[in-house]
Amino acid sequence: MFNPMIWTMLKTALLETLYMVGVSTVFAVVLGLPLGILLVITSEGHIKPNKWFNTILGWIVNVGRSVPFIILMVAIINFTRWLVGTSIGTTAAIVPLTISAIPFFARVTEQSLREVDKGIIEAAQAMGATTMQIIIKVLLPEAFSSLVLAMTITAVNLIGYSAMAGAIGGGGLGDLAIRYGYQRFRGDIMLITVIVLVILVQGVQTIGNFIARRLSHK
Amino acid sequence: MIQFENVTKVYKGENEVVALSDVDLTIKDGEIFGIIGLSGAGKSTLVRCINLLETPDKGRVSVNGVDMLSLTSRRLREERKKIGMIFQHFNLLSSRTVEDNIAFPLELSKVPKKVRKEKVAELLELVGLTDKARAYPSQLSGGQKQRVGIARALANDQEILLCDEATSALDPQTTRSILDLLKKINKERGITIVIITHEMNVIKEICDKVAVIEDGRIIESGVVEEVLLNPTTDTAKTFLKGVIKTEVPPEVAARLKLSNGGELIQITFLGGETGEPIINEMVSKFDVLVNILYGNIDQVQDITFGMLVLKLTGPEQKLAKAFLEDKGLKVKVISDV
Ligand SMILES: Nc1ncnc2c1ncn2[C@@H]1O[C@H](COP(=O)(O)OP(=O)(O)OP(=O)(O)O)[C@@H](O)[C@H]1O
Ligand SMILES: [Mg+2]
Repeated sequence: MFNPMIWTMLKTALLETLYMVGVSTVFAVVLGLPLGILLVITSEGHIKPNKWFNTILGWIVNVGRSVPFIILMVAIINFTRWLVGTSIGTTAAIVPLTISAIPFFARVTEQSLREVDKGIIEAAQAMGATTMQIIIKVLLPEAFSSLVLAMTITAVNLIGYSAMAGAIGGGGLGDLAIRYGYQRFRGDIMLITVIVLVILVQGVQTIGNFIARRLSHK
Repeated sequence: MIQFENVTKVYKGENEVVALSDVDLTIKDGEIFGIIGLSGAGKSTLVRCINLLETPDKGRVSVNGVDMLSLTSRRLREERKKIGMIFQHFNLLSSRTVEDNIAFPLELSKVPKKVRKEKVAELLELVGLTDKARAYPSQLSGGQKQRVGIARALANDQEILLCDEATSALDPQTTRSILDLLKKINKERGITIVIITHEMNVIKEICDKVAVIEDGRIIESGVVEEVLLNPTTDTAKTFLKGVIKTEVPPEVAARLKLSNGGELIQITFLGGETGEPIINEMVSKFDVLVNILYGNIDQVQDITFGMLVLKLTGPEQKLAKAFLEDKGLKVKVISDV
């Protein structure tokens, strides 16, 4: 039905999408997690309450989340070019993807960590745990399974955004869909790209759910 | 030794709550000290002021001579490691197995892995959960969870164990087994135990001393048997009602009224004297007839105490009563009940 070249293109596009989503998810987690932790522990009644810090950080995160991805991408073009040397292509797309996912992941992390039972945290305090010990030995392990779900949601979001990034020169499945499916009226390519995206999202979500369930001992 | 001097704690907020007001309290080494009070009386606040989970607004808290309020946060953490705590809802780490939960405080103190393992094995043995070492808390019953809590609270060879409603989520039988365990570790390790509860039975079962707290004030305190026998405040009496019957039930009193002639007296006795055949001695010494109409005997720890309602008839009633009082019994004439 398709000629082999389409399969090759599809394969390349899928790998590019996986690359963009994979790398930006990792960066978003690495950079968003500490922010999420800070948001929780500095909130009122938690282990290191600091009203000012918490308010300002919360505000920054909200601003980050409210900028639409497409605008963010254009707005930081110079920064992207400075950071990775180019503003087009998959590697360049990783920069806005990561930046848009950081505040999102920070918020979902905050929610996950907030669910950790106050009593458990208090027990650790009563045992003489330091703030760092509480974060590393109590908050993160207790919230681990829900953090895996948070990463999953972040990755799923990034799959969607990566298609958008692709549409404006980032490569990947979105790029393929636009260039062939839309601009060259290849409805079949459009369709198969969408199907691959759906399968990808489903797959990521299923794996995430599975791991989270395995990790939970609640 | 744990000492409170004029400790006051106020929760500020929309409406201020004075949770503790001018509390003075001394808990000696090796004691099992009970703190009883109604909900909201300030019991939790009181124990939480010992390891400074709550900071008093006024007064002094010292533990083994260390003025807790003067410590830097680093020194406070060191002191906290010497004070174990168990909770109503256990507060175990759900992500860790039983053995890893018990090892947790040892990890915090950076105890080497090998030593940790030995210590954990020993503690599992102590609380009788060796076969559950690899289980997760969600797979345990309430009683088992509290045993893990106890093992965890003893891991650093703590000198003090604080129990905030540690048995309130458990059924009576499990409560008993947990109390027995606490008693055992008190005996074997000489650890000081502070128990908070709203159940008089818990106090009766294992405490040496008790303090009754109401509206943030200690309204009564002392040796358990004495407080149980001579409660002076209404709150203490309310708690006692369900536990020890030192009062004649109304239906019995009504029946007693019908029996005329002679004098009705109620005697309350405690501990040692009950072993002696006092009544027998009285009858043989004096010219009186004794009829035992009602009685109730209870056991608090190892001490028996109780109450008898007697009808005395005969010429030497007065002398007989004086004799009973001489023997240290509390005698109350209830002819007019
Ligand atoms: N963090 C807090 N903020 C404000 N008020 C508080 C706080 N903790 C306790 N209180 C109030 O202080 C008083 C004493 O509370 P505490 O928890 O010490 O009582 P308790 O005797 O332990 O009660 P219970 O048997 O219900 O556990 C109560 O009126 C309570 O509402
Ligand atoms: Mg309480």
